[in-house]
Amino acid sequence: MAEWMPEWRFARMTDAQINENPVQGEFFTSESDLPERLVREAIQNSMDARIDDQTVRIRFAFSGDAEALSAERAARYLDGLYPHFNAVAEGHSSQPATGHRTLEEEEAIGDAVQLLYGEMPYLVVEDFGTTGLTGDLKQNSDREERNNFWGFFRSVGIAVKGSDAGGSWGLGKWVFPDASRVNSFISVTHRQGEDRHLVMGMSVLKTHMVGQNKYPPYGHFADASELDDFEWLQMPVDSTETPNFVNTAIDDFKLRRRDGTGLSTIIPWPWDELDAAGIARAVLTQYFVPIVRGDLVVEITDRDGEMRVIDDDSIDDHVRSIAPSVRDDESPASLLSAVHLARWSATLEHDAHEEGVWVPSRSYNPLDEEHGALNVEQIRQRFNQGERLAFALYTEVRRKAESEDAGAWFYVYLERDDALAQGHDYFVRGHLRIPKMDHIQRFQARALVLVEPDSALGPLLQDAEGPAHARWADRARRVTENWAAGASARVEEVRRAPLRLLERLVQRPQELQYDALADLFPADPKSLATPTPSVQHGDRVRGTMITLPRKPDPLRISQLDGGFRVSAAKGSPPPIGSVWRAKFAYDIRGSSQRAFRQYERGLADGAADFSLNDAALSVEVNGCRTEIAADNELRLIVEKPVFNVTVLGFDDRDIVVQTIPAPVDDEEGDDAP
Amino acid sequence: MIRHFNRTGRARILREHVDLRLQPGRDGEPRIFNLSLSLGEYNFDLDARIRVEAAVSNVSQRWNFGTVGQFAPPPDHERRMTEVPPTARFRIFVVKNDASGLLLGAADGIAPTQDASSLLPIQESDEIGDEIWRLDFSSSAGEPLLLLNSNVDNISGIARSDATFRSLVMPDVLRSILLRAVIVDREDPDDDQSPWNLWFETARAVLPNHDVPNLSIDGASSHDAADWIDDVVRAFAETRVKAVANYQGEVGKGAA
Repeated sequence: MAEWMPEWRFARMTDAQINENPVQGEFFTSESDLPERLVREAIQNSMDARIDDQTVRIRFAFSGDAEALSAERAARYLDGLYPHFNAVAEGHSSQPATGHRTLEEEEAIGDAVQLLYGEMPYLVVEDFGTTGLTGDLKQNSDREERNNFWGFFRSVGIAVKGSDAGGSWGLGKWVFPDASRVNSFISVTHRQGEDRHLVMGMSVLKTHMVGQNKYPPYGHFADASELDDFEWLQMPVDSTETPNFVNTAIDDFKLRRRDGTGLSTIIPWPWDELDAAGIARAVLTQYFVPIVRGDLVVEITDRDGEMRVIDDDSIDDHVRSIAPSVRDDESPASLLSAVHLARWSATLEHDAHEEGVWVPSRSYNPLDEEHGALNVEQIRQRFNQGERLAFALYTEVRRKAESEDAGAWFYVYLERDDALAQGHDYFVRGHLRIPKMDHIQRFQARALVLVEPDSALGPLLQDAEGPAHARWADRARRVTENWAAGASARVEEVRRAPLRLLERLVQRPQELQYDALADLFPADPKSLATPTPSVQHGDRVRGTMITLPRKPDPLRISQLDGGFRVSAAKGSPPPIGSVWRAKFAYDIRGSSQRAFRQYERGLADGAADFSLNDAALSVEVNGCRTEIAADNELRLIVEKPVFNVTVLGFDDRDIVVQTIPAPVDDEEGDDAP
Repeated sequence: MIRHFNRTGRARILREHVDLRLQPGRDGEPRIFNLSLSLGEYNFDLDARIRVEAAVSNVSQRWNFGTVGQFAPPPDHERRMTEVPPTARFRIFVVKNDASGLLLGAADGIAPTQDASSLLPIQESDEIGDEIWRLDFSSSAGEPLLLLNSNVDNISGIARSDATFRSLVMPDVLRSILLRAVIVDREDPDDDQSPWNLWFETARAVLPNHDVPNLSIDGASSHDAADWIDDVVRAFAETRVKAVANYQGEVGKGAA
C-alpha cells in the first residue's frame, strides 16, 4: 500500500479569529546572539528531558554545501509550503515599508522564497539520553500537564504544566525557527518506552491570504489528513504507518536517531552567523558545569565536516582555543579557571563543605565572629593563602499555596585570584548558567554558585528569571505572585551570597580603587580624544577634533638670584598701554591659589612673608610704570615695546608668580604714548 | 601666566621614574609597599640619602631607603603601612648627605601604580550618612576622591559598571570637580604644576577649542565660567558617558 506523504498545512482561520503576527521571535532576520540563544535553549530542553542520571549527548551538525540536500530531495520536505511563502512575500511587499526592520524583512522574505527552490543546507540538533517529546499526541487543551509534545508543537508562551526544570516560559523553542532563514524546522523524535519514530515540523510566518482564504502564522509539516481545516489536528508522521518516509528522512539528514530515544531537529537553511565556532563558544561559556560533571557531552560538526567533541576530558583544550571576549569572565583564561573551580566542586560531597550555615543576609553573616557559626579567622587565612573554599548554604522558601516552608541548600565556591582585574561570579541553576549578574567585581576572586536541579530553590529562582533566563530579579512579577512573603529577599540573598562572604573574607573597605573610573577619567586625559560635540544650542555636529594652538604669552617671567623678572616676550610683546597685574607668593604644595591664600592669611595675621611696602624688597622698572596694588602685587602699565620689572629680596624659598591682564583705565589709556 | 620658581635647585623626580605598588598584608595585616626608582639621569650624589614619606591629612609615616648609590629598601615587615591608611600618597626625597640636609630631588603626591589608573579614585566609606556619594577634597594636595556609601551593597561594583548609576552620577561628579577647580579655587588653567592641571586637560579633551576660564584674572566672569562648565559636562555626558542612551537602555531593560 502506498504511503500517504506528509505535507505542510496551515488551518484556515475563521472570520472571528483575531489577526496577529508572532512577536516572540525574530521574523526572518537574525540577531547577533543567535549561537548563544540556540545553544542555551536547545541544551536546556535536552537537559530537562534527561533520563535519570544518564549523560546527555547533544550533537550539532552542519551539512555544509557539500552535503546539502539537492533541490529534488529537499522538495519532499517542502510540499505545501510554497503557496504560503509566496502569499507572505506578496502580502509583505504590498504593505508600505515603515522602517529599517520592515525593509530588512522584505528582503529576507524574498530571499527565503528563492531558497525554497534550491539546494537545502541544514543544521541538525540531536540529543541522546533523553526522553524525546513525550505526552499524549491527541491532546490540545489550554494547558497540558507533562505533555512535552504539546509544549513543543502546540503552544506559544504557555509552559507545560508541571515543568519545574530549566525553562518555563514556553518560548525557548522559538530559537529553532529563528535559526532558519525560512523560519521553519522539522523534528524527529523517538520517545522513551516506544519503538517508533515520529516526524513533525513547524513553520512560523505571518497571518496571510492565499486566494480568498486567510491563514494564521503557524503551519505544521504533519501527517496527511482529509479532515476539514476546522476539524483537523496536526499529527506527526508515524514510522509504524509511514516507514519509508521516516527512514528516508533519517538517511537524508544523516540523523543518528535510529537507536536511542531523544529528539532530532532539522533546521533548513541555517543563518550564516550560526557556525561551529560560535556554537562551541556558547557551549563552553554556558554549560561548562554539566560538562565537567559528566552530565553533558556535546559534539559539533562544522560545515567542512570537521568534528569536535566537548566533554570533561577535552574541555580545557577547547576553552584555551576560544577567541578572546569583550566579557572578561568569558575570556579563555577566566573561563579556564572557572572550569577548574567547577571540576573541583564536583569532587566534593555535601559534608565536605563549610556546612550547616544559613545564607548570609543583610542582618546575618555566618562569617561574623559574633555568631560563631564558622571559624572566620581560620577560613580567612585559608582563603588568603589561595585555598579554595566551599560553602553549603541553607535557606527556606514557601509557595503561596503551601502551608510549610521547604528547606533548600545551595552551594558557593570561592577562590582568590590576584591576577584578576576584577572578580567574576558564575551562577548556575540546574544546568543552566544565569549569565548577567556581576556582584563581586571589586574583589580579586572567583565565585561559582550552584543551585542543584532538585533544589526547592530552583522553582523560585526560575520565577525570578525572564524568558531569556539572564538574571534573577528579586521583584519579578512571578516571584510576588507565586511565592509567600520573603521570597524576594531569598532571591536577593542567593544572588549576593558570594559577595557577602567575600566582604568578610577580604578586608578592603578603606582601599582606594584607582582603576574603577579609568574609562571615564583616565590618568592620561589624552586618551579621551573623541569626536567633537558642538555646544551650539540645538546644533550637534560630530567631526574630527582640531586642537587650536594656545595663544603665545605676551609676558615672560624669569628667575633671578633673589627674585624674578617680568619682561616682554619675544615675538608677541604686549601692546603699549596694556595693563597687567603681577602677583607673587612663596610657593607651597598643591594649588597655586593655596599659596596666595597662605600669603593673605599671614598678612591678615600681621606676619606677612614679605611686603612690597618693606625696604627688603626692591623693584626696578624699565620701559613701563608700576604701582603697588597690594603687599604682594604690582600693577604694571606697558610704555615701551621692550620693558621689564625686576623684584628682588626674597629668601631661598620657592616662589610662585602669576601675571594677569587687567582692565585699562581711561586715564591710563589717555596717557599711553 | 603662572611660573613656579624652584629656588634650591632641587630636581623634580618624574613619575615615570618611580614604580610604587601596594601588596596586601597577610592575614589582615597592614599593606606593604614596594618601591623602585630610576634615578640615573638626575646625577645625584651617590651618597645622597633616599627618604620616603606616606601621608594623608596630617598623618604620616617615613622610611629610609639607603642611598642613591646603594638603594636599600627596608625589609617587608618594616614597609608595612602601620601608621597611615592605604589611601596615603607618597613623597620621595633625595637629601644631601651632610649637615645641611639640602633637598636634591623630590617626587610629590605619588599614588601607587594601578593597572588601569584614573584621575578619580573611589573609596567606600561609612561616614557619609545617607548620601550615596560625595566628593572629598580634603587630601593635602586637594585632589578629589569619590566616596561611596559602603552601606549600599556592591556600591563599588555599581560605580564601576552600572550604566544607570553612571548616567545619573558621573556628569555631576565632573561638574562638581570643575566648579571646585575653576570657581572655588580660581585656579589658573595654564599652570602646569597645579594639581588641577590634569582635570583641565580632561576638560580640554572633552571639549576642545574652547578657552578655559581663569577666574584668577580680574574681570573674568563667573557666569561665563559656569557656562563653560555646563558645556564641558554636556559634552562629557554625550560623548563619554552616553548618558541618555545608557540610562534609557537600562530603564528599558527593567521595564521589559
